[in-house]
Amino acid sequence: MTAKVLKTTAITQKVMRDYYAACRASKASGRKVAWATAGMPTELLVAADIDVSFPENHSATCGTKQMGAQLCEMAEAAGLSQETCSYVRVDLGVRNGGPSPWGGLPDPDIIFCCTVSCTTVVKWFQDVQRHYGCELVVVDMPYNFDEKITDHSVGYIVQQLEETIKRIEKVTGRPFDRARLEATVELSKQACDYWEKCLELGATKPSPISTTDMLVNMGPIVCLRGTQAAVDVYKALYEELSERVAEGYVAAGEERFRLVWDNIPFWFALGSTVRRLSELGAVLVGATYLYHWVRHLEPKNPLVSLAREFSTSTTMNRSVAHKIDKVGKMLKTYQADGLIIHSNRSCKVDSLGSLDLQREIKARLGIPVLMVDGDHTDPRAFSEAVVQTRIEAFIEGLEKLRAAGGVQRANV
Amino acid sequence: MPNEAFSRVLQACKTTTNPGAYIAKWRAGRQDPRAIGFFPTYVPTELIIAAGALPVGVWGGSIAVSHANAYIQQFTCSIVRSVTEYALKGTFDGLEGVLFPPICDSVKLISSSWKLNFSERFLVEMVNLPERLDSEASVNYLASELRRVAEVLSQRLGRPLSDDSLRSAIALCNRVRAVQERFYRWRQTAAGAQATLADVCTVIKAGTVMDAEEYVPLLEEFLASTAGDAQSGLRASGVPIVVTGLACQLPHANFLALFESSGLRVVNDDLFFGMRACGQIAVDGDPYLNIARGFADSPAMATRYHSRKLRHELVLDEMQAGGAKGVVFLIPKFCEPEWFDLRYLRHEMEQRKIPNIAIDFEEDPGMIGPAQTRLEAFAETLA
Amino acid sequence: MDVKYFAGIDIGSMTTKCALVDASGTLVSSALVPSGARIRVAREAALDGAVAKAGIVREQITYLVATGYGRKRAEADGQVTEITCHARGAIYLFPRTRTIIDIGGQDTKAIRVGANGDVSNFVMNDKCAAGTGRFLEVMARALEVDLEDLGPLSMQSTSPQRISSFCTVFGESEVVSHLANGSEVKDIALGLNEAIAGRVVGMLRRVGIESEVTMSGGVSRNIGMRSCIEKLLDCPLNVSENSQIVGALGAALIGREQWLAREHKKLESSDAQ
Repeated sequence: MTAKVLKTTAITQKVMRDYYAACRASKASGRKVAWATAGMPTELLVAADIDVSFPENHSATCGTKQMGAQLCEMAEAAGLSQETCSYVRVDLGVRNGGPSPWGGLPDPDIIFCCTVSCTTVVKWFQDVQRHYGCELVVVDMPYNFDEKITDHSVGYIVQQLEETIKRIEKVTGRPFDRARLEATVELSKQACDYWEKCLELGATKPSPISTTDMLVNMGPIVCLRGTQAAVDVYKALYEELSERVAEGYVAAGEERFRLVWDNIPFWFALGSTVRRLSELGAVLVGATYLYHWVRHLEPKNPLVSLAREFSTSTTMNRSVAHKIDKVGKMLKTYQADGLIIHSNRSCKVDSLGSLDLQREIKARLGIPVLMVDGDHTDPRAFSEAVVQTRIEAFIEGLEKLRAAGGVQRANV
Repeated sequence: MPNEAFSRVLQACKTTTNPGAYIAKWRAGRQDPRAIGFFPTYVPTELIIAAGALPVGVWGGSIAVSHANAYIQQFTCSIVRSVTEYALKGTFDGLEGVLFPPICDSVKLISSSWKLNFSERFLVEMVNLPERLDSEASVNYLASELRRVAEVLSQRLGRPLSDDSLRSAIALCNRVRAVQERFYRWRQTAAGAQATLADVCTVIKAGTVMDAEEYVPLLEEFLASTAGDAQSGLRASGVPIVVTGLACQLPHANFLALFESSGLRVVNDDLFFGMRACGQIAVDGDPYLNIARGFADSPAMATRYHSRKLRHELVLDEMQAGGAKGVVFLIPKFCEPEWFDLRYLRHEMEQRKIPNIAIDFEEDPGMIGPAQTRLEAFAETLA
Repeated sequence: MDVKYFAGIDIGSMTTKCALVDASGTLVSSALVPSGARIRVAREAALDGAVAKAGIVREQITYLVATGYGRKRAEADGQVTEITCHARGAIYLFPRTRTIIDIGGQDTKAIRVGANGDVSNFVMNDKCAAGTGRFLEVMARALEVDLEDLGPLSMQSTSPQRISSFCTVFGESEVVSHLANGSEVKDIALGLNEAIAGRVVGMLRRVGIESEVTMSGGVSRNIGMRSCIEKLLDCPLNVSENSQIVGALGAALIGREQWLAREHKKLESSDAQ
């Protein structure tokens, strides 16, 4: 079967290009510019016609374009330790005049920081506030230590969203349109639902789409929730994947070993890693990273729903036990032969607990787990030679296991 | 005489250096004695005291980490690794439980990992403080969260935890905070200069282990003996400086000694903030709301966000209170909150031409030489 | 034998340096010996060397300041850190210098200095040997060339072999594997200098770069390294034939000042009587 290009990618890329252009044009057209963390319920901003830029997304793109080393060096020269998150260092490097694939982000009037992803983002956004003298809104979503989110946590978040609405009103000079919020959350729900359906189709064996293609098409679910454009992209993706599954299309050609990836990828070396895996007959069929955007929203109860879903949908705000459970389920759904965990040096929130994850997955499912060291955007904390050697050894192990009759799964 | 009285205080405080030994002694002769650990220093120990238990600070130490390497990677501060090493050795098995505050990502994750791995040995629970302290919503949230934790403790210990017992606990902790505040003021007098940074750490750290009913009289008695010290006419030696840092992880005593041996005199610090900084918390009314408000009203902290309280202003206030000429930033390696604040704080110091230096450290002193050179060079620039 | 001299001893991990200044604060002589394992022996040898070169006798040394990694264990009238001493020594040699980069045997320092020789800011990289004299020694061995030749060799290259390891141990393996793959020694030498220069300039930027920039320490003799740093800074580096004894020189000058201050106090108190 000849390799096909994913048609939806062209649509996504156009949508994202238009989005970046609109952000850049905001100032000139008198619109307010906001930055937000990826975990922030930006549906509130879309409902108020505020353009939102996402510095994490921007930093990741700088990493993919091999600008990370230079930008991190610039940040370190400006006094930020190498022991901090590389997304922040990349952003500081750009703000201090470093290169960016889009010429940087538009200067913000107001920035929104949600603590759901980590405590680091608050420090980051305080620095951004000092840099631009803009307004900062912090929405605190307490960590879900237990399996169930507490009522007072939901109440706290809802109160803060109400406070946020008041601040949005001050910035726009207009009353906040609650009906518009419901409509926006409805669109967000549709996009999330399609995204989730795409992930389900992506888990089919054999997989109709590569993880790389899923990551390439992730832009709208991160940056454009609440817009019709995001719904259209994921509807198109869902339809294309359904077609591919119906005709039995295999994205990887041969799927000798199906692997799942945990943690943010090393953006600067994702391509080379996937290629090396492919040479060894292994394919990445899924990534835990894609699941941070699976949310089940209720448009009729927007603030409570946003509070609950945003707080609980990402493993970054859930317990280690929860993550182990979720990854275990994912490995079964994807019929995975192995798990690769990226032990990401400058992302503690996603990396600590990985040793527990590795141990428990091996013990409970008997599935082999490889851990590789790296960083999401700083290539100086990554050794291609070392990682490739480990991957090769891992695949050799999988080969031996297969020859010996496969995985002895524990009772699950 | 202050000299002898202070030595006695230090001696007494050092009985808590081995918390296990102190707890064993504390238990002797008590009816159903229980001890509950807490990761320093942001946990309201009022809750533990109200439940009739002894709060015990779970500090790390310079233990060689090896088993813990199977649970936590090395790109983290040493305390989360050392306490995990101690936990794996069974050091905390005599405790009813350990409470964790969500200070930072490392502590959040390690507490979650402990819950997975150690729940069969002892209760692992989080006192889920809000990260923002500048909203009434934060105060209300925290009050509810404290009630939840109180309920958990009550269940675990099989004892009620009444509002009145919590009010008494607040009153007791208020006395601890008051006596520590007075101790800090004594330390700023020339007679108080005999208290080295290591000594101050010993005294404050002892407050996280020693029974408050013992600790408060110990310090009150000592402070009573220092009545004439403010007018003693003594001249303190050393360049006066302020030390700022989180101190959930403490440097080794050998490292702390470098300050004085480099010719620096530490006149003020914000180490061990957390509950120490809460000042006097209201006793009447809803005790949960009072503790929550007391915490929210604390001065700026590296690990919490407050839109109107700025850490650099706190550092400047500390300098003024102590008459300091410079600042030393004491940073645990891999501590993200501190590394981020450092850039901003150094900028503020430079704007005001305030000499400053940053020193990072781990619990294991390792090679003292480099830190010594830095501190001495810093002292030389201030001379 | 009334003529007074002041000595500064810089006890480094690889070499021990001694500098002598006269009563007017002028550099008179200097000596450099390997540090070896015993500080006392190295101190004596360095002091004797400088005294002999100056054509004076030991008894004329009125005051001695020790600096460097071994300063605490050397017999001396005063001990001052190498940061303060390097700043004083550099200002003496280059009065208009305001930024100093010192790459020694086992550490690297970037120092900002005022016109009067006072240190205003400094950054040290002493956590590992990467980028120091020790690192280059190991690399020279791996390349089977003399340490002295690394610089000139690197200047012959036009296509540097990139070195990515920051660690001395992994760096050595990397060099060996490049050699095995047929890379030329001169290209590896340039790659090494570029890698180190990059880190060094990073440190300089953290401390803030103000003209003129002076380089001191043993590694300043590596012309390839100087060239790489100058390229990155886009400004010239001051280097003196006395680059290695900058610390000892500063120590001697500070020694003279400390002695003068002491004498002045004695005079004051005797006046008061």
